[in-house]
Amino acid sequence: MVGTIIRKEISANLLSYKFFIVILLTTLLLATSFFVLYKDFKGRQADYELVRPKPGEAIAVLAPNPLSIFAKGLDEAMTRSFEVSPIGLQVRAGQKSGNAVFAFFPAPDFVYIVKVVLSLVALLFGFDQISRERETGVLRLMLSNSVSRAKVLAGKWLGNYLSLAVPFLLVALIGFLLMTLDPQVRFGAAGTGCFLLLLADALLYIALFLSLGILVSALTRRAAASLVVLLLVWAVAVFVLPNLGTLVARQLVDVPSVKALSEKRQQTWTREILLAIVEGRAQGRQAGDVNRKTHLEAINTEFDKLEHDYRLKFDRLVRLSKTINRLSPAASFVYAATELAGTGIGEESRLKDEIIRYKNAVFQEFDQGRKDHAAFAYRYRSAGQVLAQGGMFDLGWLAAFTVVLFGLGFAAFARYDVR
Amino acid sequence: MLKTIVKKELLENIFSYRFPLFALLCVVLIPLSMFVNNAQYAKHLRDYSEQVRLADESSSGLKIQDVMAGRVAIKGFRRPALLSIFAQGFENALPRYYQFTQDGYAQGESASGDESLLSTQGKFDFVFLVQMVISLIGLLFASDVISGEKESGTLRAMLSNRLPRDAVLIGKIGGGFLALWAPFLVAFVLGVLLLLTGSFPLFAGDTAARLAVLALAASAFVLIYYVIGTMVSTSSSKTRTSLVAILLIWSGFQLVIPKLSDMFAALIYPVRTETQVSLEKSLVNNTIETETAKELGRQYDLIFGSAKPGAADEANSPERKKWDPLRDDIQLRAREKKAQQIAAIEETYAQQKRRQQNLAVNLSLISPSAAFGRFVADICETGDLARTKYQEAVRSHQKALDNALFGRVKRTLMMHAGGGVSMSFQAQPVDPKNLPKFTVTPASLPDTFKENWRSLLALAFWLVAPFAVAYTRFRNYDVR
Amino acid sequence: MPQSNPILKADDLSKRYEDGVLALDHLNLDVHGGEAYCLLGANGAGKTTTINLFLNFIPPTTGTCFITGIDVTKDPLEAKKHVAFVSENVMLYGNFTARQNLDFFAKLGGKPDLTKEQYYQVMRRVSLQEKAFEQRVKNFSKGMRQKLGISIAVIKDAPAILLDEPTSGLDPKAAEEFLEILGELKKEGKAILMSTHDIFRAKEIGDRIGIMKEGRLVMERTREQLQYEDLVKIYIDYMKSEPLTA
Repeated sequence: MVGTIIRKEISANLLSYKFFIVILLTTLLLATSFFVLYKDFKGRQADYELVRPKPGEAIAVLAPNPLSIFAKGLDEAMTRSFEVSPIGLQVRAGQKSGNAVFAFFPAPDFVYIVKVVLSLVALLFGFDQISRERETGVLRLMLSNSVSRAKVLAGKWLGNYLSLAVPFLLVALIGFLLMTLDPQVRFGAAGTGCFLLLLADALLYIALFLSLGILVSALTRRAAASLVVLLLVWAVAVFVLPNLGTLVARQLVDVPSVKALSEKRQQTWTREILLAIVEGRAQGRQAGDVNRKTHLEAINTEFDKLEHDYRLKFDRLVRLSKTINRLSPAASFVYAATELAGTGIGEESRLKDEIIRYKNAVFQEFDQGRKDHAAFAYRYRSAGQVLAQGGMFDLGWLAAFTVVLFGLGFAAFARYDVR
Repeated sequence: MLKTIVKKELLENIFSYRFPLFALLCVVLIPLSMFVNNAQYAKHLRDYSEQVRLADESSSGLKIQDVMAGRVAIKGFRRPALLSIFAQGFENALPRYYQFTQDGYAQGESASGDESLLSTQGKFDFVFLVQMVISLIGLLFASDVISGEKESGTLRAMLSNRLPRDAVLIGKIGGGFLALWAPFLVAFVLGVLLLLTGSFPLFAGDTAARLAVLALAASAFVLIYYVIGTMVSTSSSKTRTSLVAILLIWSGFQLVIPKLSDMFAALIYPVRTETQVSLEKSLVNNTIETETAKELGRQYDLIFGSAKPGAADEANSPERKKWDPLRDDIQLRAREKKAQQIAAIEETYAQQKRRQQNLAVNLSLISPSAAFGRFVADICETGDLARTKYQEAVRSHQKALDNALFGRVKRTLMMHAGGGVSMSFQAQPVDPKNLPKFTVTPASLPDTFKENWRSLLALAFWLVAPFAVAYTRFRNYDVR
Repeated sequence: MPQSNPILKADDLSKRYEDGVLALDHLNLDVHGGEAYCLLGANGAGKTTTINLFLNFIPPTTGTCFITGIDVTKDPLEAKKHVAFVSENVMLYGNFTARQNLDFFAKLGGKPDLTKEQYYQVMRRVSLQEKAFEQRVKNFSKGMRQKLGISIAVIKDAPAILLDEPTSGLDPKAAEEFLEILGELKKEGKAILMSTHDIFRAKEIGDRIGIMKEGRLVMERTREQLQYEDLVKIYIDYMKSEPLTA
């Protein structure tokens, strides 16, 4: 019985021109996004080849992450080059896309398209499932047969979900496969695994919005009424809430700006060097050398403390903003997606820690008078690690949201007046 | 008759469930976005002041020896734009500062560079709200302005009276738009009042005028979308079809076209990255320096090679009388050559960027949202114009610093035939406390309008054309 | 010929809505196999409420409905196996053809293995034009849609058929054709309960006619009794009389 209803839903969708227009639009957007971000990635790769450290240079720089084609996230920030010098870490502007226009409208990556467009499409599929069939009288006809409401709802949900998910998966997988044809775009087994999990995240997100659409459809009598409400909810959930948390959190947690910090660092440096020079002159040259070392250590310690304080405050800010943002499933989706792609907040934080470790190692090499420094090596987290360190929470949160919405939809439909 | 219809439309909207929802949304979100962005702006301004102070302190302690050693890097900071509270635009993408050295300028970090973590989710300013949320609501409210009345039969009832169709259409658009505009304007004014309590300098310079233009542009934008929604409503007999069409149009205008136009322009006219251009300029610098050094070395050896020792230090020696003007001439020519080649690189790069930019802008004007976004960003001094002015200021500041500081030290690097390298300096006095200050002259309001004529034309088109279509369609609309 | 056990039975059925309106007031009726019972009444009399109660679309306040002896409230899914429904304005799935709509509802009605020819047979039986069999329903006239609606009921082959104002909006010829089909189904032994405004059609098809007013069954007549009485006059008199509730 459920199978009959599923087949009916899929056939009805396939016969509807609106379905085709919507699928076409989504395919066009996804294909264009893949192409443009792929080109952007190649441009950044070319840049990387230019700024790549020569052997022995104490520069920490990451090559652009191929998964950033799908989830740009913080990849640009993460692929900046960090030069270790006796002063400390110097950040250089990294491989930016030549297309600074992306700053005006956010990067149209796969994650963005799913977040904005596919949620809208899922809502569109769900919003009139119940109310329209009631208006046309077909719902009554269906329920005059020996088929339970649960089966009707399940059939509708599955039929519509498959109508959405299958074309989406096809486009995404084809895009991914086409990219693997380029030998310079190496995802590797780990990367492929992460991409598949990213797809799962997207599929979960789509399921959530379909459930929301059907829920509202089961709560309203007129299809048009439900759409207006849904679209308001969508606009708030997708655009407003994910940004609001960040901005509200900023008001609650005061973090000094990094620029002010770097100026403080400069001051510390100048002060210590001057002190060293003065002491050195007073004590004679050789003592001055020893003093120099002491002062350099003092500088390093002070810098580390500044950095540590800053990071603590910043981490608190990030945690708070994440918590508030997670009110919106769109935020959870983006967090999970960027972490899986290795361009998320967690990965960036881990990278920073590794860079600091590298810096300290290089400092020791400075002490030993070595000019030839070890290269910086970084391994992205595996999918398992990502999931264990918070990815599972976001995915679980999305799943819980979806289950709750579906449950509510089911409860609403059980009591729905079909007359 | 028109007034009756406008009044009916207005009341109908106000008594529906949509109006309080929408009013609530506006009154909460618009002032909130202003408040929050204001806090951010205030922080950026504090950071900016502190950084300028620190930079001034460090540059006032400069000595000529530092310049000779080539260690001097002067930072020029960009003041955050006040109206970025309303439209972020490029504010966070532009470099916070540029670094000026003997060898030229290099861009520093942008705001989004260090705290990009927090921008993974996107922007939340007034213009964003108008573009993404209020436009959608406008479309929605207009979606059943005709088809809804047809479905409920009241359209037939209305038109069975002695009522011209154009009066009905204009009245509906007028009344419906007023119901949208009133809460929107109230929210905007509330937001500005909220800002004033935080000492927002409303009456400084042309801020008030710019804000007025912003409010007007935003209102026109909402009207455009309301008219487009009405046009769709007159093109279909079922509200459901209108709704689907509206969603497609909205996502097309907001998401597809602006991004596609940028993407397309990037594909047709790809531009090299700043890194590549800086590297190219460095290469030119180094090449010319090496060539000059070799030439100087050769000439030096020719002149002083057979002279008595100490002749180089004797200002009046015949060799010196020959050497000094020759050296100056070689250096001058080298400087000119360098300036020419660097200028050529920069000009090519600027041209490429301009070409890409123009194409992107022209293509994006298909979307009223993009036209609106670009125009108001320029009004708020966070758009393309600001970027251009910034670049101009950077170039002229480099020249000013070359005159006041870097040019005061003439470093003569010589590479001799035997492989030896020597360096000598001629230094003029430098007044580190009176170095030129870095300022960016913003574009005036009339210039902004002039530069944005295309966006304004596009907006005017999007106001008139859908209305014309709606008008024509409605005249033949089947009301049965 | 009436059989011993009614296929459709309403036992002291009442429905009061949440806003306090008493839509049905202690209704007792039964319909046997081979019999057509027509419920007449003005808008709001309780005809459609009766049908909705039989289909378990709303729960009764008191009383019970039975379909082939099965309590509709206690075991709705089992009860619905034995009833087919034709509603007033059937829109069906506009993008599907007539056959595709029939196929879907046949499967829902517990008949998953029918062939295309069997569908065509049923559609021919209800006098739907051949060329319409594979046409999309959104292009159908109201008469064609009603025919398709009854073919859905025919194909289910349930012992009881509920119809809610099926001839409303049909032209005389289409209404006549519709009633012919009902007559045939009656002869096959189906129990038919039909709510309608149409006094003339009610008289034609109905073996028994009940007049409802303000939720009550105020009058019931058999076909034989109506040969000697003017149903039109009776009906109008009842409608004009004082309201039942003070």
